[in-house]
Amino acid sequence: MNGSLQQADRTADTDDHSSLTAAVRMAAAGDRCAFEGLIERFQGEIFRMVYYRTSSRMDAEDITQEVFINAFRGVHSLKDPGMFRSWLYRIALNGVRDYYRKKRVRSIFTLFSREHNEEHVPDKDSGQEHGQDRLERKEFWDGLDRFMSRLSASEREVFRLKYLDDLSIREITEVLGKNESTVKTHLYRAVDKFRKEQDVQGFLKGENYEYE
Amino acid sequence: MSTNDRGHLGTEELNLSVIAEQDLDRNSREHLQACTVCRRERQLIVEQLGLVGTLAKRYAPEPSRKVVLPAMETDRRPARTFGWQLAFGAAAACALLLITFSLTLDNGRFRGPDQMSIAQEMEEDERLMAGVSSLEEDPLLEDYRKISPEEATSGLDDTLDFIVPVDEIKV
Repeated sequence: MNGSLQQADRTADTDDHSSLTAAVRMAAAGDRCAFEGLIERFQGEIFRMVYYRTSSRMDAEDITQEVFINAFRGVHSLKDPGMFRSWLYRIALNGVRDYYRKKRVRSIFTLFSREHNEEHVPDKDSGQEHGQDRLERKEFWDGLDRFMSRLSASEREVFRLKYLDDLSIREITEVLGKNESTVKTHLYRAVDKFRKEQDVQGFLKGENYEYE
Repeated sequence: MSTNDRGHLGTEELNLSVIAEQDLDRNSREHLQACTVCRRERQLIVEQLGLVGTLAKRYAPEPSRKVVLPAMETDRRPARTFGWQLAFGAAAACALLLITFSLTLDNGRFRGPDQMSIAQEMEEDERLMAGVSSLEEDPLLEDYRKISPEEATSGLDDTLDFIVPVDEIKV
């Protein structure tokens, strides 16, 4: 029973992968509709990926827009359609780097106040959020930020790509342009710190350790 | 295989099993498959890590606007063509400049006008200036001087009177 389910999952994954490859090929050949289909498919995860790194909804939206425009302009040059996802993440990661570069320059000229923690709280007009939910959300992001601050830049990025963005190790190597053993080493250290940090237990407290 | 004091997998092996189980040595892999305690421990780590991703997704906002592509797909084509043309034009201009510059060079030195031609030009200039000066002094050429002697100019008024009578001029 379990084996047949796994077989079905694998078949679904293969179908999904081949349909994605076909869509990327069509988009690369200039099919605008095919590319719009790719936007539909990846906009949410790219937006979240950027949001995890910028903590700002508006900035994440702007960067996501830029990411897809850059991808649209460059998709014809993508040699391996199977690498579309990691290629998109790479563009997004560059977008995030540019964002921080500009922000640093801007902070030289203006009195820049740290807005990181406040921005994780959703905008007032984004919906009626219950006070408890708001508190939980804030606690989660604060706890995760504290944990992340204890990781090195490489460990942090690899950890995010693996456990927040749900990329495979192969995809992470493609996104970061590092070899597999380097990625695994950073990931190993990050997981080790994750297990040792008491804060992690704090911000995950009260949650069921089960996937949704 | 390194184990803890109860004979189970150590922290290193458990962490590694979460990241890449296939990278564990054979003994550790076999132990993990056989030991329910280690499997449970490993599963707990996997679930905690998975929960981070799940909660992050739950607590992240949804994008409020859709990505909009540039108006027409063909918009990108002229831009790229222009870029190519611009690069080609710049390259051609550079090549032209290089050719022009190399033509003015002779074995690494400027070929400029040599000393002989400069002297010749100066000589011609001097000759021309001498001619101009002599014409200022006497505008008539040597051949015309014989048929138009200087002294004949004294009777010029009579000749003019003959040709054009004074009365007629007055009218």
